[in-house]
Amino acid sequence: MKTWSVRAWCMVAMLSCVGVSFAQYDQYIWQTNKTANLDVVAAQPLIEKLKGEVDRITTAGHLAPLRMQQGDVTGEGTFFYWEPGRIITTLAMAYPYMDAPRQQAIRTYVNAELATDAYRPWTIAGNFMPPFTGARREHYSMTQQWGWTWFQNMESSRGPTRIATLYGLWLYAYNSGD
Amino acid sequence: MSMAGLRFVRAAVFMACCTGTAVYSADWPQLQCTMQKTGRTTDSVLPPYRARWIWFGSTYTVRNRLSVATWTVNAYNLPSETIIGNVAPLPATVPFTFSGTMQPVVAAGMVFVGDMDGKAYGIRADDGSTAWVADLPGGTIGSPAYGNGVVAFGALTRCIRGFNAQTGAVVWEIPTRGPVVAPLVTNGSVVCVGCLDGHVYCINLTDGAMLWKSAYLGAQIVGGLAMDANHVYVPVETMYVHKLSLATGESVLSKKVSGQSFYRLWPVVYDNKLFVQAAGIPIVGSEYVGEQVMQGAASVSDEQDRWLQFLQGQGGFTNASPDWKHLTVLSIADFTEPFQVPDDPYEGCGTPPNPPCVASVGGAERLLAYYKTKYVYLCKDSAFGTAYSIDISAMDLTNGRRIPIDNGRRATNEWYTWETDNLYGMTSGGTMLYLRQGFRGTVGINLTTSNATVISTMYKSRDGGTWFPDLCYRNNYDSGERVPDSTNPEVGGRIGPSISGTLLLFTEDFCLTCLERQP
Repeated sequence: MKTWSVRAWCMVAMLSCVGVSFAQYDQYIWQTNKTANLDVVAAQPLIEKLKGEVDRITTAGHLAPLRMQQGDVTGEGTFFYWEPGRIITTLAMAYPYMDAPRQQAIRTYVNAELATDAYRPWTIAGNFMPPFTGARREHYSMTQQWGWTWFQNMESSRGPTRIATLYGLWLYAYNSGD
Repeated sequence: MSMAGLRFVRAAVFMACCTGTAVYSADWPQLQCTMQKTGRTTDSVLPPYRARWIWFGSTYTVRNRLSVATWTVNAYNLPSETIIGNVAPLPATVPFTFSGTMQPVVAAGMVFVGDMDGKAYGIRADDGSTAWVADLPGGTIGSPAYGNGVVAFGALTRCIRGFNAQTGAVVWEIPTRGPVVAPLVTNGSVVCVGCLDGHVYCINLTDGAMLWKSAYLGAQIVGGLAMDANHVYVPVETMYVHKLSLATGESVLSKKVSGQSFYRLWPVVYDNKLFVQAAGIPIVGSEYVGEQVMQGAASVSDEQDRWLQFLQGQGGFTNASPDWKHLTVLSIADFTEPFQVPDDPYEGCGTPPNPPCVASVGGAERLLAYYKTKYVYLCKDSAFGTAYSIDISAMDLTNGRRIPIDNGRRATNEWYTWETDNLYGMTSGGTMLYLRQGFRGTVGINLTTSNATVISTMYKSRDGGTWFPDLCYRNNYDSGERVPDSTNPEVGGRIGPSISGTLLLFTEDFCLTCLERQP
């Protein structure tokens, strides 16, 4: 994927969201965090851990949203990584710390995600990724889809997630050159 | 214990009551007292209770002159049922916070606790004076462990420290690759520590020599560990329970159990079995789950059969599913499951179901657990969170089924809250079962008589209710009265009090409280 096309796409999406008075968003649009003077030796254990986590993601394939439930009532539930394209932000952030084979694995993974309409940041297939499709991150299995309906109803009122996931896509392109 | 020995202990306790001397006939050297995490001691502290001392930090301890007449510094007459703040000045703030999971450790005449702010404390059990304060970087939320004159703490900033129990001097330190949030377990010689880095560290308590570090076990260790003579039992967040060799740290058996986390929990070793409690998968709590099970039950036995059906996804009950299974029983020898406990969902407010506890019932040692039911024998017959109730019963160790504790009356002579989602951690001493949590306070139930005693609450009136406890700190929350403000928000937990000799001890987020029987 060409960086310029992603950036342009992101700009169009953002402008359509924020309207014409975008000067206040200049920093958000034109700047990004960049790590400098990294103490590679001190950070190495964390980098190794990060590599391990990236390996788990790229090995697992598409991931279903992560379920968390700490509440009292049966219908309730909380999910993470349910926004289409959300995982791309995470992989984009990790990308600079990966070795070449892992960077290639990330590129393959992201392109596979983008090849499926329901997982793309700009999808119109729905505001939520399918909740029980893909590898699960929980350390337990379930016989029922506990809590999803309640969570979906709660989140549906706010519309699709766009800017955050499109930013992640831009960051991926920026960091990977893909 | 022989009859002569028993007579000696009784005589010693009697003399202690007469002279005001605190007696420590048995230590409480770690969370739930024993390495098996039974929560059980034979020491008995019977009601009514009064404060002996209340520690609000290293510079201020309120003492009860009725306990020791010669006490003069910050000493007041504090009989049972005193609202402490009406008699003794309480500080507006304290420079620490105790986690709701911090059960005091008692050994060698000292009480050991750690705060969330970066300090470990050694406090004299007799008078609540501070013997030492030591740095514990990052603080701690898990109980320490004592053995051979050393008390060991896990720290949030990735280390385990051993302190001289009498002086607080650092004897040793072991770095870890992650924070330690789980309570420590000890056999008196070595201490085993589960870490968020996914390893278990086994350390010689005396000199800090690291005897072994386990292989990476697959995920964080946030729950407490248990031990027996030859093995360490480790719950890992992969939901696998590992049996490690105490000699080498090698995993000799492992088994995946049902649940979503072991946070704030610990396994219990008893009767050659391992009782593994976990937070249930569908929800951590229990409100109005399984109502149809109880509604249609014709007897205790039938109700148990119906709960088993519910836990196997059968019976046509709403929400019935194997996902609700939260208590797994494993044979110690081979980790096979001898039976499934018909134990329904209970607890809540973000808190997982409480592990079982060992207690004396009718002169026999029993393993106690909560059972949601419409057939109540020991506890209150109505509970928030269900149209029915929840009872504490003994467990039949051949099949996991409920053995009601029937003394011909229920423990309803005093009023305490009874909610399926807001229950209590359990410990026991003598014939007493002690129930405690930070928000609702402490309750004692005599398992021989079913007599209930509300031992402590923070406030006499709060959250729409009024209690008549033996001890509280302030009168009325709703009228604006406040207990001392601690440095951090409370970290909840359900932990029973520690029992040692004539003393009953527990932490609030703002103090360490020591009670004794009022003669």
